[in-house]
Amino acid sequence: MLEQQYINILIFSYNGKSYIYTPETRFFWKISDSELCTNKKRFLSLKELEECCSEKKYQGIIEQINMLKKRKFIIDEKGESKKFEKKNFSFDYLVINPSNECNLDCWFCYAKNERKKENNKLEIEKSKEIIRYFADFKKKRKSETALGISLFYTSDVTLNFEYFREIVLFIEQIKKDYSFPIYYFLPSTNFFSPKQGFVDFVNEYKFLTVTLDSENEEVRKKVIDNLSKIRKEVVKHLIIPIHPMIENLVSLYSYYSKFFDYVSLRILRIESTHPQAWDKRKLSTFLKKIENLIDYLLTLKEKELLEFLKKIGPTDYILRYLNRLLSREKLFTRCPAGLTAVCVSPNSEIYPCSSLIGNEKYKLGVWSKKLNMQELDNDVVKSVEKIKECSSCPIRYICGGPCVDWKEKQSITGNVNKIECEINFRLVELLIYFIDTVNERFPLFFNKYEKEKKVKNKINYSLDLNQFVDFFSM
Amino acid sequence: MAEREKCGDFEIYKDESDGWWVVYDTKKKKRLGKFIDKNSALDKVAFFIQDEKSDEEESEYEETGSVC
Repeated sequence: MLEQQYINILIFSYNGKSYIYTPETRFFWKISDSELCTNKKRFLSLKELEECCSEKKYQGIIEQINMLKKRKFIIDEKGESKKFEKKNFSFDYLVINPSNECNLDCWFCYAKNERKKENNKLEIEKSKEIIRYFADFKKKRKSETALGISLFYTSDVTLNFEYFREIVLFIEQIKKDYSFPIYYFLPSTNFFSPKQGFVDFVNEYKFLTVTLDSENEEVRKKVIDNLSKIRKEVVKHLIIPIHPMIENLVSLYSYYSKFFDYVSLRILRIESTHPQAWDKRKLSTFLKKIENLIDYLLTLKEKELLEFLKKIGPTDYILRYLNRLLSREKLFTRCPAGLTAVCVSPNSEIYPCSSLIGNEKYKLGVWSKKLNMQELDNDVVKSVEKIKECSSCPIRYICGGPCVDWKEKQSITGNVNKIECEINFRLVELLIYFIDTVNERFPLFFNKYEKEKKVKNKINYSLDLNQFVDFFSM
Repeated sequence: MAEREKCGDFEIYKDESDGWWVVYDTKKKKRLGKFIDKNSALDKVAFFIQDEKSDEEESEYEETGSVC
């Protein structure tokens, strides 16, 4: 008998294969080439499996799990795994939003509501004071981690590029005063009407990120035309926000990778009152599109598949899950918002995330020269171990918990957003199936992928559970 | 040389010259150690597969910049 009989692990079946995924160590294996149960595809604990599966199959799995536990490939929540520890309070990422101005009116923009309010602008001298203040705080704290700074997440940088450039010069000047590195990021732009100064800067900076409303024909054409102003050696990254009723995902990647070096699809957090808002029906349609994408990828030859994945960008929602599965990364929180990252609004208010600007519930403070930085300490983003619904969830360390802004947009008062949970569960399942199938067909594929994408590939073990258990059995 | 047992990138085999068990990484083409018994060799393979050391080196806030 298994001591921790009801250990929380994910067991699922997809396309006639069944898999097991264990949260603490993030290992996964194929259990068999058949489904475990005719009327259920996903089990969140062994107890659930026991209630559905035949006794013979269940006992066979329990014996294998016992061996995996003996060699510490499976450990339970109370086991000796690394737990979340909040780091010394200090910030590594600062985003200053001097204005909410934009030359477009994309329906999905996170700053849309703020833009309707009075249009304040943060004076440039104030932005410099804020940067100094945060850098000095890190210095006082003897922080050795880098400070990354960006601007204009709630507006388009091309409209106030001189402001951005002056801040860049300021950062270059103050760097010498600190022992930790300070660097800046050029934010994403809609690239609809970039002036020559911006184009020259990008050609020098050698990296451009564009966020595009792919369904707006006028914008799409103009942005693609504008790319001709950018030198060939500049790395061009496109972000496409996607909603549940978006067209075929394969076409999006394929079409835009003709113009950009990388394409990242990002799932939109939509207001619950919007016609495109997520609901159960739309979710099901969307998940089908992800299934179709995986099906398509599995039709490709090894070289074609590598080429396709090579063009997917670093912030792509789906690719991140693939990379997390391959690297067996342990994610304690979904993002650094409020933990090591904060942002400042045009009114000098401080929030954990630019998307939450204007929501009083999340306001951490207002910047002034007398600001006590300790006031900004917050627990808006919690570790998955501290969220009741997540603490026993089998995919907690791969998802990192809920997005606070998405919950707000969906008007959810509880701890988790079931739409987000279902997307993440489905991604984990489909991508485990994908990794196993690709590994069977092209055994060296993920070694090539590791080199190409600079992602650690820890799938260096047999994914066939029978083979794995046989190897370790004496 | 005895038959090699394989698990992913790793192999173990008994070196007939001294009876010890060898752990070999086929990806790095590197011998990882020699052990007096098979169980110790398997423990070593388990250690390398688990690779917890490199997990600790990873930051929990690794995904930064534009994460949303």
